[in-house]
Amino acid sequence: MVDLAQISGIWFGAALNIFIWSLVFKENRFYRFAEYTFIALSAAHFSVLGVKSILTIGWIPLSTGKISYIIPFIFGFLLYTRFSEYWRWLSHWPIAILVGVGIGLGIRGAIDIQIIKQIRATMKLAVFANPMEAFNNILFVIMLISVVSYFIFTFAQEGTLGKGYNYLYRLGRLALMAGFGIALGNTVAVRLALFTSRWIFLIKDFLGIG
Amino acid sequence: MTKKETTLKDWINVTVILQILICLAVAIPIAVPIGLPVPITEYTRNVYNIVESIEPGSVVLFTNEVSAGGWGEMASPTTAVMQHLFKRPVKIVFVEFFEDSPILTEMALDKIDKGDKVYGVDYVHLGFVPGYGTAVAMFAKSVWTAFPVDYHGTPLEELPLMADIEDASDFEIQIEAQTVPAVGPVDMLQHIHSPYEVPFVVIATAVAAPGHMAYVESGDISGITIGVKGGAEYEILIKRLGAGAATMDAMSISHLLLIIVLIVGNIIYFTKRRGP
Repeated sequence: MVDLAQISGIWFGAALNIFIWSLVFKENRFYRFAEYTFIALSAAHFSVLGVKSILTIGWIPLSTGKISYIIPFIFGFLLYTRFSEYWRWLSHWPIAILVGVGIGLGIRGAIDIQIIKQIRATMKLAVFANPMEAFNNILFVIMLISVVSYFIFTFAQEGTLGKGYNYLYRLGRLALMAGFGIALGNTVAVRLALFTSRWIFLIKDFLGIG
Repeated sequence: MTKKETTLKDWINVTVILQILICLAVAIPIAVPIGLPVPITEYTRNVYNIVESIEPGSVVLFTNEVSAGGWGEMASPTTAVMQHLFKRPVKIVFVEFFEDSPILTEMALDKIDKGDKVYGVDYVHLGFVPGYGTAVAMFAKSVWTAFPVDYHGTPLEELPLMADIEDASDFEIQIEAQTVPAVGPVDMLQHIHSPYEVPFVVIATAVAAPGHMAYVESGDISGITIGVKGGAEYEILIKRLGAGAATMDAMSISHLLLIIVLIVGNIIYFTKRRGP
């Protein structure tokens, strides 16, 4: 049986897809229709999700007798006092709590995961592994040192030491450029993957080819 | 002053010709598949082996932080890993910490073959909880506080699978599909992997993957599969070809075109620079 909802969804999706791509030619009404539809749908989706989350996580437990859940509601309400000049100072309390909790949670585990384990992983890189792996590891350590040295701005590059440092500095710049090149290449690959997925939708789902 | 209308003649230039070439390079291999080989990388094989070695009966936490915009790249690896999990005798809990993701999880669940797995007994979709990193910490400490009901509004008391789940330590392994920077592997490592010692596997985009490699090297991320290519490789490993495999021909041809354009562009640039 033909699913009318599914077919209309595919047609609508394909139309919006083509409307958006029409921007390549020039700005037009079809493109703007698709753009505004996207914004409206996103706003509606996030509004519903926000209200649903407040109900699920806050209101339902509160209404079932968990009185302590009134506290986040009060702090949430206090955020709106920013709109009154007289009561604005009250909004500092929920913001202070948000920042405090955020920083506390940010620090939690960060020292272990982002500092200690990272240093340990760098130091235990096997140099006497197979030749290719050893080359990679040595290159990694050299690049690490050169990139870090690139960001040292505290002394002038003068004399023999300064000249030596200058080579390291240049190597660091090359390593950074290589890193940025890889990032750009990956970005292009991702954009192509997204573009390809839309073509798959148009060719396979909409036109039924392939 | 009258506004000048853009005509087709004004519109045709090198950029537009390149855009048309890219369109053809992508569209033709999709309509007429070539079947170019897809070599399987060690990274994807490692993730496959990890999923394959999960103890039967244990509970897997699958977190999805993929945005709607990123689904084009992430649909195939995410769906393929989910399909593999459904083939294995394990239980799965799906959770999202990003707004777009619950619908995408449902879309993936609709597409895969669930076998004889029963909702509530073998797998559960808890849905979305707001708060990003804070929500991850709350979920890790008390799953029931973060989710009094599941995605469909069913109280957790009515879902047999959730009876034995209290906090993150009750999960054997966590698998995360992620595209958004708001919440991701670092939050999971800080709030779930490090305090509760839950092994962690990532399905990442090609852009984000280099950033995650530091954690792969340190051993915090046990396995990583990358982007649509990872998806195609995984589809081959689980012997269920899907969107990833269909994409790879188009990806390979369009990348080849880009490489040719890059080389030709550089030759023209340097030739012009050396000129009089």
